Amino acid sequence: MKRDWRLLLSALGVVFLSEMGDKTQVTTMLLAGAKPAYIFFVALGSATALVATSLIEVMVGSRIVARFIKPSTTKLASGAAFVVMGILLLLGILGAGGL
Amino acid sequence: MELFTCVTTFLLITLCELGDKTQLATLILASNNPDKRWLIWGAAATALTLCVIVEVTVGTALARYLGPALINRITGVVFLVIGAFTLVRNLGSRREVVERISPDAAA
Repeated sequence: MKRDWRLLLSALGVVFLSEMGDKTQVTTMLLAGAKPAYIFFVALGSATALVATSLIEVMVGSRIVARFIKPSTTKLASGAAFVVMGILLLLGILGAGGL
Repeated sequence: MELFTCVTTFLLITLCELGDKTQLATLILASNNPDKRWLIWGAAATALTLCVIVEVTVGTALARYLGPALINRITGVVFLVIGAFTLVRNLGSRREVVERISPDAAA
């Protein structure tokens, strides 16, 4: 139970931070800036899209990746992926300005 | 017009989100905890909705002061730390054995 809360909070934190400065965020801000009168509908459309795409990601991760790849391998690969993304973000290759 | 804005935003954001780092992060979290997929989805959906609320309210002002470049650097450092921790924790063979025998004891 305690582990579930930790997982929930860490997933929330990682996804929140990851979305900050992302190209979807910049797009939403541009749309909101372009249509100030329809800000609620921009937010609604954007939030619905993100919730829907995150369901796809969760299903691919838990049903496909986790089924065919050993847990120890996914852990190592995910560590490596975060390191690579971190370096790319620091170098400015990944993120809103880059990819 | 409201519906049009809503639908076009939906389509644009869905396309933008494909191959994004948020998508990769969520996928990684779900593949590491396949039994907790609904928990991960709930957390991701909440985080993304919060992000959208922040974006359309204070985000525009915040981005002007900080700029996406600095935000991306901060995210980069945090991702590096998370990645390094994940690698160190899972490279240790002893811990891996403990986890394989009883996942609850290792957690």
